[in-house]
Amino acid sequence: MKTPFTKVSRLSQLLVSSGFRLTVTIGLLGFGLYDLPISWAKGRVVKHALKSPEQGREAAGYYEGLIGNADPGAGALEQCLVGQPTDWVHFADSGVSQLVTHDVVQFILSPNVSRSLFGKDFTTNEYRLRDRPTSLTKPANTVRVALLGASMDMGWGVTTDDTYENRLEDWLNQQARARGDNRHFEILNFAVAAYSPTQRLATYRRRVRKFKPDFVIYATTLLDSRLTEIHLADSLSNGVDLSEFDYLTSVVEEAGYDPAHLKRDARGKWVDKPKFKAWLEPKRAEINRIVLAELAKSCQEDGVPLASVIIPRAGRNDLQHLRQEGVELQIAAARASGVTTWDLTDSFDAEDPSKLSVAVWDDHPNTRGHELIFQDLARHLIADPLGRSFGLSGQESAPSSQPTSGPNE
Amino acid sequence: MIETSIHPRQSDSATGSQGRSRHNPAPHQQYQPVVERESAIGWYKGMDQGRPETALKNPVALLSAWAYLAFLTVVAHVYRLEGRAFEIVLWTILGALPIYELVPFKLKKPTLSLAAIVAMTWIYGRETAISVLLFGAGAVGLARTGRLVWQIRAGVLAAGAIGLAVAKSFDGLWMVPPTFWPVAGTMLMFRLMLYMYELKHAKGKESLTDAVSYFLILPNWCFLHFPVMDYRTFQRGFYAKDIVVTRRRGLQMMFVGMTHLLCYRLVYHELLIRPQDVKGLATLGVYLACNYLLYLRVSGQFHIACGILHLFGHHLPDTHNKYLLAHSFTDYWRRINIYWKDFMVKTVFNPVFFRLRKRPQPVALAGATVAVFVATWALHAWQSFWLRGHWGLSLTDALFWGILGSMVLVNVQVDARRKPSAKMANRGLISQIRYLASICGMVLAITLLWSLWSSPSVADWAGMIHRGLSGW
Repeated sequence: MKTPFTKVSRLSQLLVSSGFRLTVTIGLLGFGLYDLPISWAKGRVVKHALKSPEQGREAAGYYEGLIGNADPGAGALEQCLVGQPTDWVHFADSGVSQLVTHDVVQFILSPNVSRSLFGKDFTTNEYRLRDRPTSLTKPANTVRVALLGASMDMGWGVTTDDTYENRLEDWLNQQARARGDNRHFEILNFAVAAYSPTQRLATYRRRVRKFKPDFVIYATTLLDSRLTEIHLADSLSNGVDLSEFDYLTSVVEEAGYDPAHLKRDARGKWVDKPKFKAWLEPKRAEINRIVLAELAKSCQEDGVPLASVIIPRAGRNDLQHLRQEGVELQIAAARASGVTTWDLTDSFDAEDPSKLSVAVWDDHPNTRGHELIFQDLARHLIADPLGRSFGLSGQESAPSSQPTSGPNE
Repeated sequence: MIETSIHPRQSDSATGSQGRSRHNPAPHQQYQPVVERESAIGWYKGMDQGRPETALKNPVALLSAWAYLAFLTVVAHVYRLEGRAFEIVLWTILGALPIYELVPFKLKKPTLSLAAIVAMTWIYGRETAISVLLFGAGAVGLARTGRLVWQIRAGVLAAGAIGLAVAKSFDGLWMVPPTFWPVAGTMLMFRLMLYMYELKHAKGKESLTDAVSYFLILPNWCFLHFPVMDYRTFQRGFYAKDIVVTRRRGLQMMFVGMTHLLCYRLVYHELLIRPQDVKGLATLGVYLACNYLLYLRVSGQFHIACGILHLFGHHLPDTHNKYLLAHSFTDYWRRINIYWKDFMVKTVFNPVFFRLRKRPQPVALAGATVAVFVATWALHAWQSFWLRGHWGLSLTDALFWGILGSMVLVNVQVDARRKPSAKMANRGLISQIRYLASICGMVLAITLLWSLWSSPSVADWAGMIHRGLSGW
């Protein structure tokens, strides 16, 4: 009698045949190597998932802990097993920043840093900017642009000259020379790794204003909600006075916040992290919306135009159909504050995202990634009326999309 | 080996054959047997003595296995499977396999052990490799020494392990490289127990080569969470079947393991939701299923680890047997992590059952089953301590093993009273439907238990189940 079990038995016989095995192996290899067209969104998502290492998710369980080594202090073992180079460190441990735990910004870049991080030069100037040397006083004939952002914009894992910010600066000056414009364009990079929207707002109020910018670019990513969560938890743990940012104090004063959710165990592990996250989750987007509104207000008071850009990461959540909701939310928040937004999240769509990250375990964009972000940003500047602030007429040709660096350099 | 052959005299070739003197003998005197020194071929043949028929050389089969292995290595590289250590192990195998095939039979195990040392040094660095090797040599040396009776050796090793655990817990051994603990732990934490068990029950002396090859297992360095390899099974499985068949089975296991790892990634990145996102029956079902399917990584790694050993002639049992199709708790226990089940049967169940054999059978079965689950719970904490650095004991952990153990306990009693059932293909349709229903019931029960095991607390788990059932 033929039963479902005899069918299962035949299927298992097929699965063990060497011909089937070889065919599937060849298929897997082809799927892994072939660049799928952009229109195959779901296929690209599946491929990215198959090629992404196991990290970044909050999967729990005995075996996840045993194999994943997600514990603090497992760094040395992780380096041996997964393959992080020995000089790969977290930003906080890299020796390029200083803690100011009493202040809302929590940490700042150290001045005049010049060292190699992961084989790339990491430099800061005397004003603690991850940028070329500058002066506090704006030189004559200079159009000054301030960039606020986090690690992507700071250029984590790329050299100072390779950041999209400095590429844009060079291109703007090249365009100016070509059209006989004697103005100099200077973009000052105020971005600091892991800076949340509130830290960026504080940076504008305390530092950017002193440099008298003519334009402000506020860079965001889909990770901003996470950064808001980390920043608020750290600020509350460190007893920071948040009264300057009443939207944060009002959130904390709301029912449901329990300081016990911030406690850590003897190994430094944040025990009730899921509870804190669950409490803050419905409020994160609203906090980020208010930050942008506050920044727009401050810029308006200073008479400085403001635009926001949404920068892509080279990771799973920024893939085409997964990012849509988050991007729409950010565009709506910017629109509500009357801020022009340039959505650059499609910058990586034409290429394999796994070739655009600085490392397997780190989805910050590499040199090629920064190149693509710069090209997309330049295209938006050419097309947008706000580009006139940069001396652009709208007739310029967009920068070439030919790669000037290899994949994963 | 001494060989004789016909050799021309050295002086004859120099002088030619013109004058026939004492130095220039007649042609019939020019050749004579000479005694030759031991040749390399002779040495090889000597070392190759005892080569079983299952280990006959087959260059074509080796080449085809090697080519497919190279293919799998490229797939692992393209998909960045399991990272650096796995890739190093694969490259080591690709390099070592042809050499392993060429060396005489008696040198095969030492060659594989040497490859394991090379891979360990490559992955963890000299400092860790040397310290692990010295520590392991000390522990295995103590286990093997004939100067002390077995009970004293076992007592000293147990006291040493507990002492190390205490010292490590209080950071008393800060000078030891951080990677030493998990690497030494994975090598010794269970295998030393099984080795001591075999030393107690063995009739003859166990060879040092077998001991070294048992503790230095090449794929162990990339998969620290490793199947609990039984010493006797490992030893007896060496070229137990024809090498061509064994290698084919190994490659099949590696292929299956890689597909498990890729499926795991799909579940991990695309399908798994957070427990806090459970709102309603559908999301509860998705969470329960995906959280359980995370085990694919364990089964994938175990398949690959055993597959690699097959390439070197070790014919080993399956690590898992279609565990998603278990139809009862005892069946589940038999199908998932077979090596653990065998370890427990050998070292806990049988000894306890034997001690209770004079009691009624249900009592003996119950006592042995309870002992197995208490030991399993404690040894999982022991494993967590060496691999992660902390015991990981929690209420949910205790509940998981307690409930699973109780279910198996009941099932064992029922099974002991039941007559053997007919083979599935011979059952009627009703019986098959009932069988399918029991499989579905087991999936539901195990996924629920698994979600409890994964939850930070019972309250969190109860909250998630409540949200799932109540719809918000």
